[in-house]
Amino acid sequence: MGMAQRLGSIGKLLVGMWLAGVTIATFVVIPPYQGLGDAGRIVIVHVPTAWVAVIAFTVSAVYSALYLRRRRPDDDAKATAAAEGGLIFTLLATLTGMVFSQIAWGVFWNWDPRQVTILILLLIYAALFALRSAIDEPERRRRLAAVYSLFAFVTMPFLMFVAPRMAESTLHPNCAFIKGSDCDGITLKIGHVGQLGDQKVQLLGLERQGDIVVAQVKVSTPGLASEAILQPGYDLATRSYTDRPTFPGQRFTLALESVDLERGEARINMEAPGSGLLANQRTLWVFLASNIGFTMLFVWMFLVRSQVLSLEAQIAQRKVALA
Amino acid sequence: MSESTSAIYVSMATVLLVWVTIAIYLARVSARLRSLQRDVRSDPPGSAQRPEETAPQPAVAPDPPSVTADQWTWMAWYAALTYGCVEAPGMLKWLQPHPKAAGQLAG
Repeated sequence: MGMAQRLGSIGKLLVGMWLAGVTIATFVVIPPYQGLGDAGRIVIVHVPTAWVAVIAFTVSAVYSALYLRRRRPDDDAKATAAAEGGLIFTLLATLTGMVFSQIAWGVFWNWDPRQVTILILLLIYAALFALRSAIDEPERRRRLAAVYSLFAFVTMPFLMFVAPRMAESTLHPNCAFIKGSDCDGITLKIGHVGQLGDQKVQLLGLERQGDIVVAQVKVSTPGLASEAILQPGYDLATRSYTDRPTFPGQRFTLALESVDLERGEARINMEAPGSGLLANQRTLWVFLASNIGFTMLFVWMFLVRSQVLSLEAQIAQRKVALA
Repeated sequence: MSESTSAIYVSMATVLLVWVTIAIYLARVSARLRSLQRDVRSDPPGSAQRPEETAPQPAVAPDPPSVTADQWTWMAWYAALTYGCVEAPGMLKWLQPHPKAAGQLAG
């Protein structure tokens, strides 16, 4: 066995052991998440699969560009292997997200902006393989697939990062990972009115009970069809919220993020279940380890698959030469 | 089954779905790679063009199968998943703080 092969075997073993550790940690080390309980553990698998899909599609685009420049069949094999990995990981991100959605929101699929954009991305990359299978002539197939792959890649950042955050109302907990404009909440003075997502909110008052401040917030659904008064709490000593009431008929919660009693104002925010999941240090470390593990796993898949495609191309070329 | 117990089994099933999907993919692709490498080794380039120059080769027995790094990896995953699925609920229960009994508080 050559040195490269031996190193490869050791690398595979390490990836397996690393991911075995992550799997154990997912169920044993990290605590249940408040509001989601044990269902929050799915995030440790769900987010890395989506993350690896982004890496895979980027690798595919890079090799597609290299193919167009150098015209080496090996570059095409690598671009295809990476796109295939990306498609698998996108599918897994969608499926794990659907399970999370069922537990957190009560439905597998509710046409949330995030769900819609990932479905479109799946369809775009599935079309790449349909295109490849439809062209018999190898050189033409490689060239067209490389061009299509580059076009597909242009849509990826928009569909994965931009479009879901442009939506005014999404159940997807973006705030768990990136502080976006839709996740920053609003600061209201007593009596003032504002908007969180599609909900009208009005701060009616702030009442101090020892270290705890309780706010009275009137929330109204779109069209003012229904109104309710919620009372989120805030602990001045620990500077964190104490109670996050749920919006009527929904799984969103209303959180009090900061309070200034002298000025009579409070910062309130609307959170979807899952927001703030990574605030726990143990969860954060396992999450990072999972991301690293899945990335290494993708590299493994990519190397094996690109070798297969490369060998298949060589054999096909040889058969043509013999014929 | 309580809602919490149900949620942890759903989480485990989801994680298992991910591993099984990737395992099937990697197993199939690795098997295909081994098969192609065998084909390439047994049929070097140009061999079919000069059959008269090729001396008959003595029959060589294929390499005996051995436990590869891949197989060790699957075993490690299997062990981890089994451990996770069987032991996690018990561990979680064990990790939760136990309230003291009334007698202990009074005493």
